[in-house]
Amino acid sequence: MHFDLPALTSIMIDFSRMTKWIPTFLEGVGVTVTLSLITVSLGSLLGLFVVLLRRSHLQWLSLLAKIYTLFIRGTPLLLQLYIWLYGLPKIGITIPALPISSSLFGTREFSTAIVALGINSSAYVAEILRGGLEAIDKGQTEAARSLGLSSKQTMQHIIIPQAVRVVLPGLGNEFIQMIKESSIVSTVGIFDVMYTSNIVKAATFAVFEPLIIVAAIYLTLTSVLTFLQRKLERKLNVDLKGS
Amino acid sequence: MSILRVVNLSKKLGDLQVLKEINLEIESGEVVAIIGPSGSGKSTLLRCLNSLEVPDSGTVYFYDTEVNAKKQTEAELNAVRQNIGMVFQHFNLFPHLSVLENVSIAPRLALGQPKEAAEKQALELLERVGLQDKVSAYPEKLSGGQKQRVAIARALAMKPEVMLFDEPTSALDPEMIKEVLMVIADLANSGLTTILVTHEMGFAKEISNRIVFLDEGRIMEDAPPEQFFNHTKNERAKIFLSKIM
Repeated sequence: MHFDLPALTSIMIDFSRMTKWIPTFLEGVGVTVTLSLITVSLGSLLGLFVVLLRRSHLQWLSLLAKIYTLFIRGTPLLLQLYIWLYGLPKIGITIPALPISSSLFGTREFSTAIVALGINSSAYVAEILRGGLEAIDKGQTEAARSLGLSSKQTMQHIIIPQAVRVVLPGLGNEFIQMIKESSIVSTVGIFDVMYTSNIVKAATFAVFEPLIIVAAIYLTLTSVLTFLQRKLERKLNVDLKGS
Repeated sequence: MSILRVVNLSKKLGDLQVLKEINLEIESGEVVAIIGPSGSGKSTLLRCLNSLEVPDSGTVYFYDTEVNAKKQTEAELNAVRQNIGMVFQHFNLFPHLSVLENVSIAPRLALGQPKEAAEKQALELLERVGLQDKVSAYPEKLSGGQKQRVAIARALAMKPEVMLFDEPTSALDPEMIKEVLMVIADLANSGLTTILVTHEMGFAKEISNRIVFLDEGRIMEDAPPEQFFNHTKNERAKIFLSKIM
């Protein structure tokens, strides 16, 4: 066994070349966070809708929601993204670019990614919400209804405020998950954090340094979010005084 | 006219025929204790009265309105339920609301009472059940007996014409039973129509003016307490009483 010293020094890691690319990395952070935020918000709205369908008394609506969830959770996100971006346009279904003049956000790829990731997220959010609603004791509904509250009032004032506390960790995890999973949009040319490593690599011929920086960025984002999530949970725990 | 009337009511839960052709009339001001062995259908019968359970056949009337969650519109059903208070074995207080909010939320939401009026009334009711010092506490900080008294105040806040008690002391530690029974006795003595499912025979005897004895889904005896406890001729009732007295 012998070490080739000159070869080792030639692959020394050198971050000095990275400093002038900081703005590029930050731009990527902006895209990743924006994309994840919009996606999870859209996913939560759609997810709520899916849960309502799932809990519907009409069998076929409930079945429809089940099939939706099965398909979304049973196929890779990357495949779903390709279907939205390359498959569906072949039959005339195209997601138009957002009407903003921005090379980062105003592309067809970006708006399509929002739709694909949002729909993907909705299936997971729906399962989280369903679990939260089912976790609330049946006696709560019975007590509220026996007092003469409507089913809507019961949901709004009794069940949902309690369910929120149950689902919050799951929704937080979904957002953290989306920060990481949204990195696959770099494969279709969206300028997220992951993609910036390609740009910097191409411009500087440095391979490892941009990857380390990108890893540090993701780790920071997810750590900060985990911290905020804990804080919010603790605050809600105090507000709701447990159950 | 009877305040509540049950006609030919039958109900299955799963494969079990819990109630068989029940007929029962409750007059305004009566205090009725429903007793019987475990699994005899007492709670199911009580839950049919405000349609938490919907009978398979037969009818429940509140005055002349049919009470049926599957046939009535939601608004009709809610209007009936607002007149029928219910207290559960496991309290079912709302854990995310304070004691005051637990007692004031239904009048505010269902009757549209202003916050101030609803809270003023809630304070009076909490005083009546002896919990004026727990107004801002949350349910988890209360003992079982205190929880059940809040639950009673919560039901009373809707000014119901009938109160249903579903084994209100069965989940309580022995030393807390009395405080809850005293509140129920106070209500029953005030003339509020009361229907009570209970295992507390002494209490049933003391406060009710009518005992309904249920066994295997049928009403076996319906008599004043003195007659039921001392002179029943029903064999099943005799066996039941010999086991518990």
